[in-house]
Amino acid sequence: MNFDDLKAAWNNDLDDSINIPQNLESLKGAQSPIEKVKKNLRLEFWLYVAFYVIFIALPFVTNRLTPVSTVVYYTLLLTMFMPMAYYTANFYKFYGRLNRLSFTTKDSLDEAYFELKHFTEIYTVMQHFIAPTCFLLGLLAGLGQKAGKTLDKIVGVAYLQHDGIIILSILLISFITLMIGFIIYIKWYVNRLYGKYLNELNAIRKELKETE
Amino acid sequence: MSTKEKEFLAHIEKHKGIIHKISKMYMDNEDEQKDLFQEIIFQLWKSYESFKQQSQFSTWMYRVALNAAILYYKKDQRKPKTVYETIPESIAIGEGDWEVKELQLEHFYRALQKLDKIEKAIVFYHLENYSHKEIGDNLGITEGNARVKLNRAKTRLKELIKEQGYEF
Repeated sequence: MNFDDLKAAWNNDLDDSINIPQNLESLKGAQSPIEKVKKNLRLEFWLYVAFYVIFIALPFVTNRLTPVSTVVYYTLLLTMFMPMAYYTANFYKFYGRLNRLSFTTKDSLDEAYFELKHFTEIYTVMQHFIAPTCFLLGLLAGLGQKAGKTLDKIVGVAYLQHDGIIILSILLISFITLMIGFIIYIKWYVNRLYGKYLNELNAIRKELKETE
Repeated sequence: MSTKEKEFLAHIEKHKGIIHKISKMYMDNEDEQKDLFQEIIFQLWKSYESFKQQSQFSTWMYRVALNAAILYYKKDQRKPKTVYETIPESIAIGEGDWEVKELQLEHFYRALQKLDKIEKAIVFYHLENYSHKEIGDNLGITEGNARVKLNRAKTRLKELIKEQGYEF
């Protein structure tokens, strides 16, 4: 194959029938991994805001919490707020930094890959913290005034009854199973949302590596 | 429409052929080529702030457009590969200069689909007369690495075109 011939053909390949959009507002970018991730992030961010508002309002709506469980409930909510605030701050930094396509290909790819990897890790840690906290908050709100009594019952059973150890073990195993379930679910969820993009970016980065 | 927007669209009008070629290099069916064409213009507009007037628009555009094409994510990765039709006889048997060039390009674009994303970028820069050093600078790799990758891509292209039963 003669590349000079091909170059001549390439240079003559002019297609005047191509139309460019006349209105830039109508353009929608959606197919790059970064744009997809941004879209997911935006959606998730608003979901978190909605969840948080619901959790704040829940005790007022149900009106089932005792003064003590109200304190516990809002303390848990406040504890959940801290990693969420950290996540949000990182989200904005990450969101603004992505997509610097005027860099060299290697720098653009590296930046997109490492930023996304770093962000995914923060996101996973946050999910590990938030999921069980949400579970506890839901339990508190659901049990309402019975929360204290239920806890007393469990402790009472554990101490007073003959098979207390067995009951406690069952509770502990159930809790651990639930947490393992959470971890597996989070891993799957994060991978489904962001893993494929990370893999794609990493595969292209490898194509740039020095060849021997 | 703002002056900036008008200026940008004038640049794009002048270089739309190149964006179309990049879309053809990276996508093998017409619908996906159109989507990529639009995506590249979208990314160019988003990055337009980074264009410094002292450099040539085309130089800046090649880099952003290729990076956009490289980062483009195929809608459905599991989609079966395009089944190519036989090259039309009118082109295949043509002896004229135009027909020969058309035929060469047809085989070239088909073969290109089997190269990886970085190899396609290297071939593009080569066809646009970039030196090994310039290719390396744009991709962020060494001149030597660019040379090796270009030679490999050329060899692979030759083989792929031969597999199609054509040689030039």
